[in-house]
Amino acid sequence: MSEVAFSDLQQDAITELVNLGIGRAADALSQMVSEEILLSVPEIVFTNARDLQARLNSSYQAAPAVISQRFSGDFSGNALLVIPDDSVSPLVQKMLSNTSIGEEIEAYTEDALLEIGNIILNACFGQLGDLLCTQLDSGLPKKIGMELSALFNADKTESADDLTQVMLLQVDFSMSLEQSSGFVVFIMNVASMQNFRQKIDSYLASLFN
Amino acid sequence: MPKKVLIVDDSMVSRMMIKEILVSRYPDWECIQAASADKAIEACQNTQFDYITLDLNMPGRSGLDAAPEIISNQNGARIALLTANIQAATRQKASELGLIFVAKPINEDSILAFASS
Repeated sequence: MSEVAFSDLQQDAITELVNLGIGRAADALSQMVSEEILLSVPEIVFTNARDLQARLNSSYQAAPAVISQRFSGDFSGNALLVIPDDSVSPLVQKMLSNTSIGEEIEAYTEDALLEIGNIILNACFGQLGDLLCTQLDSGLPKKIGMELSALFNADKTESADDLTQVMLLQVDFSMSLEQSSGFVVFIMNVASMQNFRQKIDSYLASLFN
Repeated sequence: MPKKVLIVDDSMVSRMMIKEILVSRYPDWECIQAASADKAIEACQNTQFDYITLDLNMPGRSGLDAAPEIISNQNGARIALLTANIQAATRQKASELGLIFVAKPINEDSILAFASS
């Protein structure tokens, strides 16, 4: 099975839909940290497992936090939120700033990151599901390491690169004086990516009818 | 009159944030926490609550799966489904069960609005 190709029009529609999802995610993040979050328009790249792993390995000096959440419906896969290591602590501190947690903040970091991932990823694919008139159920968020092979192996029957396709959304976000560059990644097998493309076609057809 | 609240969420941070919002406004309210739907059902068998916040996505049974059983034990409790899953279909399911839909992230306004409903 070969990679699913997207036309310029389809890619444009995806950018628009994803931008709305990211906008909702920004709103959610802004509520969590009680300040304005500025986001760039996401740059969308369709790629493969090996390239995603290489980008992650080369993009950051320190290993970023990677939160994974399974989504399933007419199209299924894993969504990842990649947060640069140097943004983790400010994000969690701001999220918990109105609570009584003081010096124990480190003990709550993983739990807080999972909740941030849950909220941001659900905002992204929830908005996408609504706009594409399909319901996407979500699994539990998990913090995973930098080694993504387990995710890629989950859906494959042959080699990961043959069957897994990656929609990578690079988003630059800034919070107060801090500026970061994170990723939201959708990993789907080719069959799911084909279903996703069909949903995009239905969405485009509905716009022009 | 002090109220009893059951906070059901697998996220410790979420449970803590909800509790702190409620207790800061209503210091005499009693907040019980449950980290799973099964623990929530167990708590509901022993206690009548005035308010219940129910997370959707939890290990084991989801909040929506457990809601009918919780409702059957809790006459008159106001129950909110708190979730990051903001899709129309989820709102619809919550509404069909008579649950109040509260979108995550948790914030003071939405929790206090629920607690005064």
